[in-house]
Amino acid sequence: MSKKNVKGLDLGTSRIVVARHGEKGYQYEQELNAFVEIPYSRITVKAMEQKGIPHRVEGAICYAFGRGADQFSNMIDGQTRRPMYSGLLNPNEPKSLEMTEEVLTKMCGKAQSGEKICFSVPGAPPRRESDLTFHQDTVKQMLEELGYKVMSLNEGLAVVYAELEDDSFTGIGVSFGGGMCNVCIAYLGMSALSFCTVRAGDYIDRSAASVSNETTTTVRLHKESGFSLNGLSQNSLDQALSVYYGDMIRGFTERLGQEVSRTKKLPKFDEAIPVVVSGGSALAGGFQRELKAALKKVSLPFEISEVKLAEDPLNSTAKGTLMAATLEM
Amino acid sequence: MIEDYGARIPDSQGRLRFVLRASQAIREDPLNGRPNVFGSWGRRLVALHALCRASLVARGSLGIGPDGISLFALWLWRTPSTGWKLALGSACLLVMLTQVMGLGSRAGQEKPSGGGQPAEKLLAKPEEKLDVWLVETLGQAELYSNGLRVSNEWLTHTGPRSYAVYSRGPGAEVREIDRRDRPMGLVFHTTESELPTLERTNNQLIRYEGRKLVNYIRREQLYHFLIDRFGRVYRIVPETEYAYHAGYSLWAESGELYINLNQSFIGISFETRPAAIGPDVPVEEGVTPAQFSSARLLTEMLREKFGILESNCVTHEMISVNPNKMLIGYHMDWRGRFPFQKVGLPDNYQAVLASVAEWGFTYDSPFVDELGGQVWPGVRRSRSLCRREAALRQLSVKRYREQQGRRFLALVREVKKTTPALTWADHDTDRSARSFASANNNRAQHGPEQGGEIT
Repeated sequence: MSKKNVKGLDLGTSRIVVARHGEKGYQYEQELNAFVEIPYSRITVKAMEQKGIPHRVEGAICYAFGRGADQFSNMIDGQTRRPMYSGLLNPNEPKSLEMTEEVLTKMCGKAQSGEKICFSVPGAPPRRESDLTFHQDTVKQMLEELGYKVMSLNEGLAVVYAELEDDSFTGIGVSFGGGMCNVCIAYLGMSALSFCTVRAGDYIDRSAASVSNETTTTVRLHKESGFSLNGLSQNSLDQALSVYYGDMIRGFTERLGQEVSRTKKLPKFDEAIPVVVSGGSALAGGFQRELKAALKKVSLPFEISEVKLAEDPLNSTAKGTLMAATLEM
Repeated sequence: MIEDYGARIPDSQGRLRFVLRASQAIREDPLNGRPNVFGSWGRRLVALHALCRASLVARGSLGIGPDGISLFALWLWRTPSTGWKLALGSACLLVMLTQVMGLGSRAGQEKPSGGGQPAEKLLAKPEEKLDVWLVETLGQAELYSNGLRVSNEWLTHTGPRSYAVYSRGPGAEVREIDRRDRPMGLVFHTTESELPTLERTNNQLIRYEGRKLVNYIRREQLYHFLIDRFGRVYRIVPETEYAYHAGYSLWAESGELYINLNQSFIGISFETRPAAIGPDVPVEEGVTPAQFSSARLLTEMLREKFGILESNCVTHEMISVNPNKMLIGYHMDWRGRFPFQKVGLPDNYQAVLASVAEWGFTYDSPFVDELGGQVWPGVRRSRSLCRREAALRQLSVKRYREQQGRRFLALVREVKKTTPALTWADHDTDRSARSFASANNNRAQHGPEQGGEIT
């Protein structure tokens, strides 16, 4: 079987990334995991077809999803909707399943004969274990319907696979995504402990928007346009973002301390292990420094050698899933 | 060593493959760095232990002795580092198995004694001897001796049961006679949810809609059990906890009155379409044989487990009331058509409704219409009893009902004081079900009292 017959899929709350083997290494295709509802008109649909914006027509309503959702929501002053929430299929969104299916069909396409795909799954959120089961099974079904042989991989472990090859796939992989922060402590490529926290990018956006009287979109755009955790707050929005970034980082380190003290499954690490962070929320300036400082305040049964940013923070989960799928060839 | 060799492989994919295969091949336990020789044995023993324990608990014969010894033995076997631990562990296991076999055979011969636990002594005796026990737990599934399979895949938690039992009788002054934390009965519901038609081409939709429904029920904690159209039984809320299935409700049996059946009864729901059961639709069209088969097994298991009386197995329309209008049948799930015999129960539609006979609740014409023009026999009998009680007190029926209505509202206020608010009406099935079920199921507003008026 050719390497072209495998795909990796990072199914995130805010973005979906598909990874493939290309002629020049790994290739990625990204799409925003959001959609917007607009009134149907032939002209609009034709324009979307010309621009390659994924869409679906249902009677008098047209749903534009992916990057088109952002554009249309600005034009019609509407609100984008999310098929996923906190890392899982959004139970409060009636179109969640249809839209997820649509975007997966568009991005992954029908499988070639025997083609394999590995998709990322988050850790089980506290008291929502069966929601994870539902999410995992449903996505698996959708991909199987497209003809794939499907497997899944913990998101944190995918980061380890993608980024810690120089450390024999031993260390802590953390994906600071939109809906969740997924963590995996791996030893020689095997997951020893994985968990997640629900304070992540969306939490920062919502909270900062709430206290600064801005919209979440404004906050997100500001955050993505070079915001830095340098302690020198220029305005109330920067101040709010700094506070909630700190809260997210503290939430992660405290939970890490709790989980490693609670588990009996942790291996004995002979050497200090690295922490690798990925995801859009890890892109803020000074993030590594803040995280390193927060980790020093937590008592851990192992030493941390370094805190490093993933080589390709937005694509590392997809790369990890592609590596896992390739292993199964 | 793995790291050293792995580092020589230039390709990241190849390195990952090597590291994973090497670490699995030498079976080194990454948990503690020791050879994991006992890993698989440990798991087998844990399974054996769980099986023995579950079986004995179900038979009410488990003593602390064998359980404690078995746990100690398993601990020794799971963490062996010296010969003496292994030997001692083996000896303990032998003792445990001997005791288990002895108790097991006795349990088969003797009636359950209740284990000497105060709560179990309170168990009402079932009318007939049922013998159903947990045989096996496989992952999130349970297998019972009568063939029942229960999936815990969608399990969620609310809080422990805690409710007051009141004395019963129109003449007696109602007072709290007991507080309990175990279920006393079963309430059968229908989901009245949107179901795709059962056609080969609808497979995907059937799966999606089924999962959406169970996810919704889980999120709203609506029932303890859901039986889907294929007869699969899902435990949503553990039996020892309350669920929001009954809303304003009352039932009475054997001198005991239960108010707020969220706390005191177990809710079992059948996956059905809106108005799947009614005057023009036979029950057999709305509910599948697989569902009735599973419901019978589930009923057997629950009755055996909690000593539930046949007469305390009822349907939602039998217990549901509107205290503001003093009307019965606020919810009409089965519309008086639940085939009790199909789940191994007597026809409880013959039973007297305390709501009508003792508390003066009545019904209106929409209620009668929902039933196809005729109320079930228990309602008729209850209405006669109500008339008799009024006559005994030398009151008109209307006056008697007014008097009893005031008493009931006072009782409701008392219940609200002692029961967590959320388990009463604040999180009622009324509200939760509306968004998912047909409006037909929830007669939110009964019309003015007419037709069927007790006179």
